[in-house]
Amino acid sequence: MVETYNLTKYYGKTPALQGVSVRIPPGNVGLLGENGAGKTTFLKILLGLLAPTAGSARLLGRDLSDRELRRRVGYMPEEDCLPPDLSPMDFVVRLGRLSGLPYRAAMERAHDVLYLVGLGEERFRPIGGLSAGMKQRVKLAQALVHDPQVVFLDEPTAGMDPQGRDEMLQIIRDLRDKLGIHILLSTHLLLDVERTCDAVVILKEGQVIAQGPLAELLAGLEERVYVRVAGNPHEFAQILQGAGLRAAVVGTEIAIESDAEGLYEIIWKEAAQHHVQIRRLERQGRTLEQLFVRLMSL
Amino acid sequence: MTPKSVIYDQGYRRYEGRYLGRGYAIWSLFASDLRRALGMKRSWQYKVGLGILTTIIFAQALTFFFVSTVGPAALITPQAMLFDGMSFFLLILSAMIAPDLLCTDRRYRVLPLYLVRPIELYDYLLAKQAVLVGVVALASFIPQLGIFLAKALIAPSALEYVSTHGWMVGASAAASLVYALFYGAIASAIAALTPRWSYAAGAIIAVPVALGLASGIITILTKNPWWQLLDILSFPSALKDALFGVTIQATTFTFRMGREGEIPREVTMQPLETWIYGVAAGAFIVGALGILFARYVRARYE
Repeated sequence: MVETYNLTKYYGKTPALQGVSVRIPPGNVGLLGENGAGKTTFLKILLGLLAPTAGSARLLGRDLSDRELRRRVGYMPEEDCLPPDLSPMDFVVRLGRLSGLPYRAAMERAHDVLYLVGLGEERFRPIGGLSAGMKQRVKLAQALVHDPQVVFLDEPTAGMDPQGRDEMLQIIRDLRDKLGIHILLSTHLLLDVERTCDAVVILKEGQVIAQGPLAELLAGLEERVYVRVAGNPHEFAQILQGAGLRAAVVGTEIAIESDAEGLYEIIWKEAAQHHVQIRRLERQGRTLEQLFVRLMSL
Repeated sequence: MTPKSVIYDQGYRRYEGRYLGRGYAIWSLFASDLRRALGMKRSWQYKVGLGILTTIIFAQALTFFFVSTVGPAALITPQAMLFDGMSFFLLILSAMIAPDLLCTDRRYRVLPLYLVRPIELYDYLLAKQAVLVGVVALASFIPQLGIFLAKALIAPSALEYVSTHGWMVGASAAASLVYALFYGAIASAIAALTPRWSYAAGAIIAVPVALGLASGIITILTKNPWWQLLDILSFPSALKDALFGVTIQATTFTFRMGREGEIPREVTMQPLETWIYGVAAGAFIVGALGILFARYVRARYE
């Protein structure tokens, strides 16, 4: 879907991207990184809104200067980008026509995509009177109106309530599963990526520090177990450390990360030997958050 | 029994039709902005403002028509005089439309959504400029055409009137275009400098008026006619006069200087040559459009 070679961008003397070379496969891909990691710069270069200082990139097998490419790409920006006095219908029709849709087709598709994103009669109300969640849906609708092959989503669930967020994530999954539209999702919400993406690219200070299928990256993590004990957790944490486990106190619990065989047996055995009462023991699957925190701390 | 209607819920479908080209995209942007500029689907305040301006311009046309019909014979080109009367209102019209066309997209950050589509920055600016110039030119030309047709209808021989005065239609059209291009350039250059509608609208009216006042004062004080070029609103006016064959006479001002007004003083301002105004107007339009483009190249990356 996306190939970049040594992509570099400087704002004055400040580097935003430093030699980014990635090969992003088709599908739903999450673009992760802390604030200022270069995610938005990366997206804007791929969209042709920014020129790279050095390096090159190809999207859907085409050079970024190819104007035809723009018919195949949709973009949902993070920031508010909607004129308040227009209705969603008028706005989406307007942008559909700019993408080359004939008037009648633009009207039909505007109705279709606004319905798809969950806007009913609200599509005829001025955008200025819509809630933050509805505005997010309008932003998604304009990115889809011209039926792109790939859509870049920048923080698509920002400002949405839990139910709206669930619906938005379901739409994003459906875009790939039912409509075959590829997604590049830039977000801070790691759970959103876990729920919608097959692969991730993680940026740190303008450089790629990890990329690949999510399952493969998570498989490299150690299992994490949380233990709550009666009494002082620090003492038991030290005991577990003495038994060769990587244990640390997190709040009132002890977090243990280990791939050791028979991890639970070791914990039970140490607890029994030292007369420590275990109140709760919970295994947490390998999470993107775990991977992200580990990579950011390197 | 045969069903009268059937609902097919086909849901969302992929688009399988054809995509139209870049020219169509520019046209669609022009058409939708033209509708907005003409007040369609706009607030009542905008519609009232536009209505008042249009009424004033047409009322002036009606006045000049009657004055030229029943008034002195010297008033054979009411169109030329109508320009002088309505030019300030054309400037106000530019101040209404240009910020609405240009500031709104930047203020609400809509610009990137346009530019990720198959149009270029200059296509976008071309469409916006075409709307602005088109509306101002039409607002200027239609009343003049009305005067011409009305005078032809009341003339003893309409055919003879058209054949002898037909050049006025061409002159009116050319002068309207000059005003529209000039005001369009001023308005869009100023509107490009701020995302705020009100700031831009105020500046579009205030800057040329202030320059005109400054020009008058400095020219009188220095007696240097070149300071007249500071009055940028005189550029299209001078070109219009040339198109209608109107000769501008030197203007003499009489002052009484001193605290008690004891020193009478006369200052005569000689008009500059028309070609100087032509060059100045051309340079101004090019410069203003340059500012517009440069500002948008920067805005694209914001």
